[in-house]
Amino acid sequence: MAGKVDLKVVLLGKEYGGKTSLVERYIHGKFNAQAPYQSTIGAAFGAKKVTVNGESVTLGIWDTAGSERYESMSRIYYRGAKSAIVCFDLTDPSSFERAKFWVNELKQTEEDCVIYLCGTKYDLVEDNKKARKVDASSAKEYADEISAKYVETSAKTGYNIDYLFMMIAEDFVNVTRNKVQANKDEDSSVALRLEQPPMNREKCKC
Amino acid sequence: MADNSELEKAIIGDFIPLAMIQAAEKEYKKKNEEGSLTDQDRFSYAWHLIKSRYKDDIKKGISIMGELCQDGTDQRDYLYFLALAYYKLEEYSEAEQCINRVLHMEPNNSQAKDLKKLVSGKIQQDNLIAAGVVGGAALVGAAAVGTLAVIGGAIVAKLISK
Ligand SMILES: Nc1nc2c(ncn2[C@@H]2O[C@H](COP(=O)(O)OP(=O)(O)OP(=O)(O)O)[C@@H](O)[C@H]2O)c(=O)[nH]1
Ligand SMILES: [Mg+2]
Repeated sequence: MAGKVDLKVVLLGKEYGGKTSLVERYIHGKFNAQAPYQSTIGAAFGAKKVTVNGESVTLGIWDTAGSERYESMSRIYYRGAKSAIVCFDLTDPSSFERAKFWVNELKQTEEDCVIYLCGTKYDLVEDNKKARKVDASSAKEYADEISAKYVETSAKTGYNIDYLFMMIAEDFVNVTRNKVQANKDEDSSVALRLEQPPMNREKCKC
Repeated sequence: MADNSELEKAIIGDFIPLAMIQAAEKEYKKKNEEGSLTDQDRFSYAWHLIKSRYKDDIKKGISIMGELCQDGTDQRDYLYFLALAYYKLEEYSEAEQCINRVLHMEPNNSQAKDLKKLVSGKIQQDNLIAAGVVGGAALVGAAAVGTLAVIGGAIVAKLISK
C-alpha cells in the first residue's frame, strides 16, 4: 500500500451495485463470481500508484458501503474527495435513482469534486439487451446535465476499469491540479498572512 | 514482526472532527428527548464516537454499540466497530473476541481479516513483552528453588547425620 495519497477517490452508490468488485478488479486484477456477496462495512480503503505523463500519482480509493444504514456517515468518507465514482447497476433501475441522490449530495457539499457516472456489470447486458434496465443514452444525457463523464464497466471482464481510473488520474493531473496550483499562486501572499498556528489539541488523551 | 502501520492507517482512518461528533450528539440527544430514538440513531452516534480521537468518546461509543449488539440484528457491523474501538483503546483481547465473531459469520470477509491481522500483531507484541517479564520472573524463581534445594539438602544432611 502506498503511503502518501495525492488523489482521494470515493465510490458511492446503492448497495449491491458493484463498487467493491470494481475496486477489487482495479487493485488486485481479480473477480470472484463464486464468492458470496458481502456488503461493505462502513468503507474500505485501497491505494494504487499510476503514472501520468511520466508523473507518479497515488490514488487513495474509498469504497463506501451502499447500505442506507451508512447514509448519515458517508459524508465523513467523501469529505475532501477530489473525484467521485457514482455507481449504478445497469440491471437495476432503482440504483440509477440512488445514483442521482449521491450526485445531489456531492453537488451540495463537495463542489470541487469531479464526478464520474459509472454503469456497472456491463457483462450482464452486453449480449442480453433485455437485462439492461438503464439505457446508455439516458445515462449519458444525465451525465451531461451534471457535467460528469459517463462510463460502463464490468468487474467480471475488466471492461473499462483501468480506463476509468486512468481517466480520473489524467483529469486530476491535467485539470484539477493545475487549477489548484494556479489558485495557490494567485493568493499565496494572502494565504501567508492568513495562516494561523495549528489548534491546540487540549482534550487529546490518546 | 510484520509492519502493519500502513494497514493500520487504512483501517483506523482519520479521526473525525469534533464538530461532527458534537453534531451527532446533538441529534442523538434531541431524538432521545422526543422519545423517537431508533437503533439506526444509536448506531450512527456510536459510530461517530468510535471514530473520535478521544478515549472517553470511544468508551461511550462502545457502551452504546455494545447494547445494540444484544438485539441480534446487524451484529456483524456492530461487532466490527466494537473491535475497532477496543483496538483504538489498546484492549486487544476484547478486540480479538469481537473480530473473531465477525469472522465466524463471514470467514472470508477481507475487512475483518485485515482488522484481525492488526489485532493479532498487537497481541503477539504484547505476548513477547509479557514473555520477557515472565522469563525474568522464572529466572528469579529458579534461583529461589535452587536456594531451597540447598537448604533442603542441608536439612537432609543434618537428619542423616543424626
Ligand atoms: N456479472 C457481474 N456481477 C458483478 C459485477 N460487479 C459486481 N457483481 C456482483 O454484484 C454483487 C455486488 O457486488 P459488490 O461489489 O459487493 O457491491 P457493492 O456496491 O460493493 O455493495 P455494498 O458494499 O453493499 O455497497 C456481487 O455478488 C458481485 O459478484 C460485474 O461486473 N459483473
Ligand atoms: Mg461493497
